[in-house]
Amino acid sequence: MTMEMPSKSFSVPPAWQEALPLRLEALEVQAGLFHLGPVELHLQAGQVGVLVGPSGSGKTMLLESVAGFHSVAGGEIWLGNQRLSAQPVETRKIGYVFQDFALFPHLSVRENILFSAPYRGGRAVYERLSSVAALLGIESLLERQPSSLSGGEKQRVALARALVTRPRLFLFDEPMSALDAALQRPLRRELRKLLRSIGVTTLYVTHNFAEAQALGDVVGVLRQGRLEQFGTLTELFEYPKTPWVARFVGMENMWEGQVEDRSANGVWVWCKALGTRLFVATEPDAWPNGLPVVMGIRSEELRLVSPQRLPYAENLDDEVDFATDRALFLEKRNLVPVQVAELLREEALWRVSLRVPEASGELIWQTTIRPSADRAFCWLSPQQLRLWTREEK
Amino acid sequence: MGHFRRFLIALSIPFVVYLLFVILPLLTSILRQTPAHLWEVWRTSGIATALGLSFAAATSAALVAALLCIPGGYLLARYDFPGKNLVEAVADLPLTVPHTVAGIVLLFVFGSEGLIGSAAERVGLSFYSTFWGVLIAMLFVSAPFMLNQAREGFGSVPVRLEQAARTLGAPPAHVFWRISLPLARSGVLSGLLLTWARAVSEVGAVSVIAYYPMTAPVHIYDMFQSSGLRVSGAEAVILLLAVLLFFLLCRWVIARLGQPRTLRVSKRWRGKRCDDGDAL
Repeated sequence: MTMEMPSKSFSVPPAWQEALPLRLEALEVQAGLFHLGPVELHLQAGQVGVLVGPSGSGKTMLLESVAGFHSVAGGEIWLGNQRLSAQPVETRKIGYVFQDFALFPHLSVRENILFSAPYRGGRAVYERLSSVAALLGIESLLERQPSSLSGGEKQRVALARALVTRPRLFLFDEPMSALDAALQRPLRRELRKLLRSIGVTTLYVTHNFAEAQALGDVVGVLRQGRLEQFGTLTELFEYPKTPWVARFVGMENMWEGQVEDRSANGVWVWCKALGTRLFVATEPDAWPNGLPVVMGIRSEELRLVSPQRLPYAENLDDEVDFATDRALFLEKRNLVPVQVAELLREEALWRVSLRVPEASGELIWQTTIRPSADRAFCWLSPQQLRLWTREEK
Repeated sequence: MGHFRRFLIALSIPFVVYLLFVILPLLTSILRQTPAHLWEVWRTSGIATALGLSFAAATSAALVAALLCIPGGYLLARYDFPGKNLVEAVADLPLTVPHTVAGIVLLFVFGSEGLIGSAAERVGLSFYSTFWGVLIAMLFVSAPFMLNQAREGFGSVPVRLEQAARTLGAPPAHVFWRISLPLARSGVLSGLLLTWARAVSEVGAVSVIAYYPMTAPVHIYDMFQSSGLRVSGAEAVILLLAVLLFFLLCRWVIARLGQPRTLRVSKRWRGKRCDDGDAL
């Protein structure tokens, strides 16, 4: 049986110009009672930067400020050696794709795409029309009115309208959020391919972290008008700067604690919720005794050890595969007795909720193997435990 | 279903009463006239000239109102500024003032002693008892309709679309002509129509500034005062029919202009999609 897939993926166009770096320097914007910034953000030429954050965090406002919809209260926006913050919207040469696509309802698809012709290269825009339409697979839609298009089609038209202007900077405001979930994943891949190939510096706003992972070279996490952390995905996952960022990027196991003791290569932290003290591998000098802290570990980093096998922990190579951790493991540090409280199958993974019988705490463990026993020991690797200072309220 | 039908009937009864209240006087006044009598009055009473003047002045007033009030409507729809409430109240003032008062107030400015009137007279332009006087009076009482309708029209245009146009390189003036105005056109057109209707029906202010040359409503009032219902009734019917005709014409034009082309094109497209579906 042969299946013919509709040929809707983007073919790859060549990069059309030299990309420019984007620099936001101590950018501050005030809109009503909401204050954004100061935001410090640097994108290298051709990089895709994704801004994530909960709703109301100011990510769309930040994007709109780069576009020029808000007047800047402080700081500068630079694109290459041009001071964007001193230019009106229409001369910034940006391509903006709106959440609701903002197609002009009184113009046909063709007229929508050609809207910029008088301002962005005249004839050249007309000449680019057919190639861009072919690139996005919308040739057959050109004579239609926007109101007759599906969500996915509208998005392609909005993208085409921005693409024909050959923007120096691409700005996307949650362009996928109005689409069906089933449509989002393939579109993400196509968009990523497209952005990579044209190599235009891009700022992309989303509240969906999976989208950020799929598209971004670098990711900025916004919270209440401030950039909590800005860096590569790896940095964000491995070294979240604050407990809030850690939670936002999906760290499920977090508890409050207090530094009790220090050794040469780490600190001991008393964790009331788990009813035990845990060893965290870290630079001990930064963590004085008695310091209130927040600690956390990603659910996929937990190890479960069945009680029968504990005495023979030397042979547990298959369950504990970090050579550096092994010595610590053999000392039976960081072993928390737990009970399996709940099992949930999620796609290819098991999500296991673990209860600590002697204390109030709960751990979430993600695993590919269904746990065999109800009672076990959970091992929290000192290398994977993260530590932050806790702000006193 | 029974509940729902009873609810609909409950809604309909007052509405039918209202419709009868409007239609009955119109209908009886029309049925009282014979075509011969109407024709006789049309030829001899001077209502034809008066009607021509009314239509010409009202149309001019609507166009001037459009020129003066469409920009204001856009400003009020888009921007907040200190004292905006006051500005809106002042702009709506003509709606609240009795129209004879409006005429008198206008005379202070446009009369031969007035600030503008005296200056205009030096270049040979008089507002007292002229077409220009009629125009000014009509404009004063009807322009607020233009302003409010335009403001609502522009208010219904998403700011997003204007922002999108600017990111595509259009300077603000182009955005206004290519996006805001075309999308606000149904509001602007209905504003024109309302303004025209208000202007053509004006008696009070017009009769204070320019009793002569008589507009149709003034002429009818004059006839009613001097010779009763026989002639003025026929004239009233003539005015009614003329206005009705004009309104139907305008509504037809607006329906063609004011509707986005979407309707026509999408119908054609729907046919097309069915074809594609068959091919698949």
